[in-house]
Amino acid sequence: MRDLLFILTALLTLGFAFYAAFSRNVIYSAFALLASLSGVAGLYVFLSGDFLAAVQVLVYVGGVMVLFLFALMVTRGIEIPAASNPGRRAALALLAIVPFLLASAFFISAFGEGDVGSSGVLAAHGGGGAVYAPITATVGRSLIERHMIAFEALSVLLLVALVGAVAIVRRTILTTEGKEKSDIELAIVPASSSSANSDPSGEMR
Amino acid sequence: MITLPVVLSISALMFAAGLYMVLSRTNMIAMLMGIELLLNAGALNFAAFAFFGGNVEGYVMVLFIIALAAMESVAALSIIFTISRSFRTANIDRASALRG
Repeated sequence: MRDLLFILTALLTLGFAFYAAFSRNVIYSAFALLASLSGVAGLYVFLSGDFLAAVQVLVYVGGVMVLFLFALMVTRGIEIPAASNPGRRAALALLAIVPFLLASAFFISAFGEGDVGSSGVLAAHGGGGAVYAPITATVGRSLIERHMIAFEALSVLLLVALVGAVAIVRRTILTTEGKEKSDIELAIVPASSSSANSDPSGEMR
Repeated sequence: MITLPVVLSISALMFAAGLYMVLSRTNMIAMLMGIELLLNAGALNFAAFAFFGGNVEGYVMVLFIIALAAMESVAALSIIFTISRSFRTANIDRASALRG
């Protein structure tokens, strides 16, 4: 039963990941990516990462993908697949991932020969592994005991990214408003093929 | 069924999908989605090694990767928003000049 669920989750994750990679429409790609990231949360559950699954759903499915969809919706002309997503380097990209897949197959088969879980380098760090147990308390203790500085640095980095994103977008909106106004002033003399037809300030011509 | 090589293979296939997405797309937001797939495949590897190796450090690293990926997508989306406003397109081949 557990194996069946695992196979189902893995197929769901990989299927949606490849659908996101091969779909012609960017909005379909975004929704497929949403499903694929939810599938990764399911895979974390099978790897005894209950807290990770919760964080994955909260941050990715609830935060990042909403941000992606919002960014897609405000981009101009995204609803036309041919214009929004031309994929003309597809053959070269397929050629590029073949060596990667060969190399990873080589390394994974090397892992398959030695039983890593019970003996070997990884087991020396403590425990046999592959045991289902709640990890939240252990992860939290490790986060504030051994990784305190990295944790605090990450919080500062998040603050910097937030302030930087607001600063960049705010300056864009200010300068773009000025530019569209000058576009309108320029469009008085030549033919009126300006892009300001949806602008409410286009009335002042 | 749930063994280390199986999980590593799932992660490698997911990484290949993300790599194809980053390389073949010309839309900047779609390329960023491919980067998210790459980061998730790497995080899945960390979780797999933490589970089968029995140490907790991999789980902590997954949390760091998730936080960094969220931060990266916020910063990149704000830059993409700026570029697509000034070039009026999100196509990465047509937005190749540094001066807007």
